[in-house]
Amino acid sequence: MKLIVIIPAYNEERHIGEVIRGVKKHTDNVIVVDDGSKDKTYQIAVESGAKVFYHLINRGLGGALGTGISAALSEQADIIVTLDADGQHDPDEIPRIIKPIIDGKADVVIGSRFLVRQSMPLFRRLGNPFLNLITFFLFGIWSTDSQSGMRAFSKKAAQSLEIYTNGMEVSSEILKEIQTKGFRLKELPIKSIYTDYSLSKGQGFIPGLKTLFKLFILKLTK
Amino acid sequence: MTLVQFLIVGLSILVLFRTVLGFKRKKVTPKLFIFWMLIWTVVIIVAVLPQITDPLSKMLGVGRGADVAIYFAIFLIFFLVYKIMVRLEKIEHEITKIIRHLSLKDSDKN
Repeated sequence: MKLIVIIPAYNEERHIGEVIRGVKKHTDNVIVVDDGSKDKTYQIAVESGAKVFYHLINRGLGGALGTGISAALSEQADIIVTLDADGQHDPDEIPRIIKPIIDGKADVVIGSRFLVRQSMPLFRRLGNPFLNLITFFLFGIWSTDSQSGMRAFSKKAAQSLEIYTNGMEVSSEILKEIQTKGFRLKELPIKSIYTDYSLSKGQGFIPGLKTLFKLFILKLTK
Repeated sequence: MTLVQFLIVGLSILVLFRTVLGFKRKKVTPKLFIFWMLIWTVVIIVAVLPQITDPLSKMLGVGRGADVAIYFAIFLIFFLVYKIMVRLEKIEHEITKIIRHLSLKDSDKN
């Protein structure tokens, strides 16, 4: 089974190298989508041994994930894992989150930060459940962590996944796709490593509102 | 005619004139041309003869005809903003498709 890990990255020179090295312990196939970074993300990713795809213009998380998934499929991936470039996810959790797919028990696995008790900044603790609720009301699918960046897809799921959105709202859109395409979803607890850096890269209040707004547009148009 | 009516009619005629000009220069599509001509003609008629909206206001249960016009205008603005947002999302998606294509093609060369 060929495992390909996709890391969308935008101005992540500080952590991308260490994340790629962590992932390399589990697979040689690492795809980084450099979403128009202005720093050294591209060079560091290439030097760390990842295959890098470069976006000339910054498109956002959804745009980068879509590119990564297309690239992984054309490289004959059997299992695709996505994780964040900011060092929030522990690459050593990859074997555990792909297991349900290898065993044929799930098509999509989401690594949830909310299935185990762990410390989380108050804003995240309140903001995430709110977006979970919105995702549930708009698309009829419940996830304990609708905004998680750590996921695993079977080849079949990745092939029929259609991503329309460009930004952070893609996380909820993926859940919508899971619901409408009837994929079997499994959620597994994951650790999340919050640092000042990873917090600054995540969604704050205003981007959160933007995500909300984009989700409504998505609901009304698609 | 009151000053307000005078202003509305004057501005509407100006916009109508610009729409005709745009249409002649092929900067406005026929569909949009008809749409804007209708909208601004209605605005002029309602501004000059506000009482003609009274039957409509009675029917809808809104106090005055002028209020119906305002409600309609606000509704129209919301609708147009929504259309623009949808259009914008579509354009954003299309830009992404181009960037993705370039990105995937570039890496083949490496």
